[in-house]
Amino acid sequence: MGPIITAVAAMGALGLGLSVVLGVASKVFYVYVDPRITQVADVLPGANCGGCGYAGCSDCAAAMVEGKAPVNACKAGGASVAQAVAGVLGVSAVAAEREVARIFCKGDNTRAERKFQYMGINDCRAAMLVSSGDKSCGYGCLGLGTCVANCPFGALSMGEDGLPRVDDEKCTACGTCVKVCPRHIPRVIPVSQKAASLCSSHDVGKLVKEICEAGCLGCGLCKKACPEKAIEVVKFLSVVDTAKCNGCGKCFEKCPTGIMQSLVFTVV
Amino acid sequence: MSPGSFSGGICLSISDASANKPFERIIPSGVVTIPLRQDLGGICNAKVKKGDEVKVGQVIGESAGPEGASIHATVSGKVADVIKAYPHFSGGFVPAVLIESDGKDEWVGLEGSADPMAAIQQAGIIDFDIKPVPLAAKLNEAKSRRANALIVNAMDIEPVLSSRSRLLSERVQEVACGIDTIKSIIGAASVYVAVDKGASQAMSAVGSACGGAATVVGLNPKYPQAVDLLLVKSILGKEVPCTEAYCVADIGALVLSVETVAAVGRAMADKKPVVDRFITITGANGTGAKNVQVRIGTTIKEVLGHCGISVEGMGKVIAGGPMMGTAIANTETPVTKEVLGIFVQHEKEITGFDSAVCIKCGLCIEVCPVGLMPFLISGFSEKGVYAKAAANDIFTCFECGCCVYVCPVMIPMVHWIKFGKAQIMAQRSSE
Repeated sequence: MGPIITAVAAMGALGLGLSVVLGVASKVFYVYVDPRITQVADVLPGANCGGCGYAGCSDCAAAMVEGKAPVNACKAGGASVAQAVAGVLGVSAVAAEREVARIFCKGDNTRAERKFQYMGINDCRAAMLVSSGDKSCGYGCLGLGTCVANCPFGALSMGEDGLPRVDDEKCTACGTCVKVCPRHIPRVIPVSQKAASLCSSHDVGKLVKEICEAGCLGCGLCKKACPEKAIEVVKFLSVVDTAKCNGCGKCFEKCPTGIMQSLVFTVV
Repeated sequence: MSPGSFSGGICLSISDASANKPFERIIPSGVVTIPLRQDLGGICNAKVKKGDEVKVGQVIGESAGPEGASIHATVSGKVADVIKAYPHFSGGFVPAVLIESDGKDEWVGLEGSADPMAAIQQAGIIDFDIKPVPLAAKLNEAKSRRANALIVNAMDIEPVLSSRSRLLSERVQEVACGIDTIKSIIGAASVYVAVDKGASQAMSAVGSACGGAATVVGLNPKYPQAVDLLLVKSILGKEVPCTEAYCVADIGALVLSVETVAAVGRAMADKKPVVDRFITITGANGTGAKNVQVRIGTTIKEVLGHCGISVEGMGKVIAGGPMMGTAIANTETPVTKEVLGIFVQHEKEITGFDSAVCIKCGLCIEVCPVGLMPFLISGFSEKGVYAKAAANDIFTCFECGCCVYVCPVMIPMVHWIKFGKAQIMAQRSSE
């Protein structure tokens, strides 16, 4: 019995001593952490997509609590998360407008020319290392699906025509696809936008005509047709001013290549 | 000193059809396209405008800085156009000058600066090697790091190419003059000429011309012996510890390709700038293999036509050699200072890549000449773990392609490594 009592007593004394040290240390080195940070972090989606501009969800939560970021900073979470964060922080949430990604290229496998056959690894960024990509157009979608592979919410899929599709329900407008695309084809736009020229090419019309059936020629017919003067041609590419556009559709009829289109979203 | 070797690498049994064929001169007849960036030194400023009359050797692009290389007209005639965005074969766009040849081939000489460094910059000389660095920058680096051994690299970079050995045997006087100039610039104590052991003609030529001034070192043509790191290892017995931070100049060596040295000789003795390239052209299966002296700006199509290589059924046209070259998208691409050779693959000879999984056989580690683990680095870049790829010395890899050559499941490791490097560089520049 003797050794057992000694062992239990020794371990007990050691435990007691160390717990006192820990207790003192926790008082001396105490750092105040706002409990709301954890609460806010809990209501955030936790995908660490980086769409808000912070390193991850916990960083964003800290910024929200400190007032550096608005309560609707989490793009991925949308209105419901903004409400929840506002609830934790005791402020009223101003719902940010719902945004989704759209692919600004219509040059699919049948309509856009390719200047050579690419045989390398399946990543658009790698394809860019070989003569700036296999599409004849220096601005168009390469169609190897880097955006699809990197979407943290599984909102993108590759269509059979070689262009990605966006699932509006799943898309949270986090902007990862915009960042990974070497040609910046996906763009995050508000659902209130009614029309857009779905092309990214700044090439002159003559060249576009040669290499792609679905490219903006920069002809300016849409600009002339627009009663609201909402369209500008910037470096041979039509750009719609969302503030002025009312979606009347006059430009759709005039566009010779049909890339000036009405935008249809399945979410509001 | 007995030349050593290096671990790894492979002995390629590719036919050397172009060997011992003398250089044939190609002077383009129509329009030449001269990009205003042909090295890693930056874009040159256009000195001519549309409609100007130019002569061969006239400066059309002036280097932006003192360590650049100017670009010269390579035919006499009229400037047809100056375009802002010409597609560069490795990606991106550069400005370019189009000159319509008048067929007269009239020359203007260099101004002839007394200072050899200024003369080198005016003559537009770059190091005609894997990394096309302007020679002025390379010499300044060698001087600042007190490199005292000059190694003239007459080893051909890839087995199918033979232009370097050939150039040494044909133009040994120019090389000797170039060696003298460079030796006095950097104050080199010793000069070595690295030659392929099999190229006996080149070896005897350099032996008699340079006499005691240079040590001729015959090396086994094991691929990739011609890369500067491995040459230094074989000849000086020294190794660069970490190639991301150090270069061969840090261990006291300046390695220059024989074409560079010959260009220096030509600039000093004949006052002629760089207007020609001395390259090997090889068709599929060695058909039409030739060594050519071709004016910069000639389209690859015209060069292939001269060699009787038809474009029909052609699979890939590669600038460089089969191991390290870059496939080009368009045969209208001009020959520039960066092109080390042209290799054509037939459609039937091309093998695609599988999306196979690494079986961890370790063959790539065995052949890697710089002792890396290619499967690991490429795997890290594939999975997007770039920090680990960098920690495993991704930047030490000079993309020789030995690993892919031996890989039994054909994983495109070099492409993944290039991809990883590009991602890391992009991350670093955004930070």
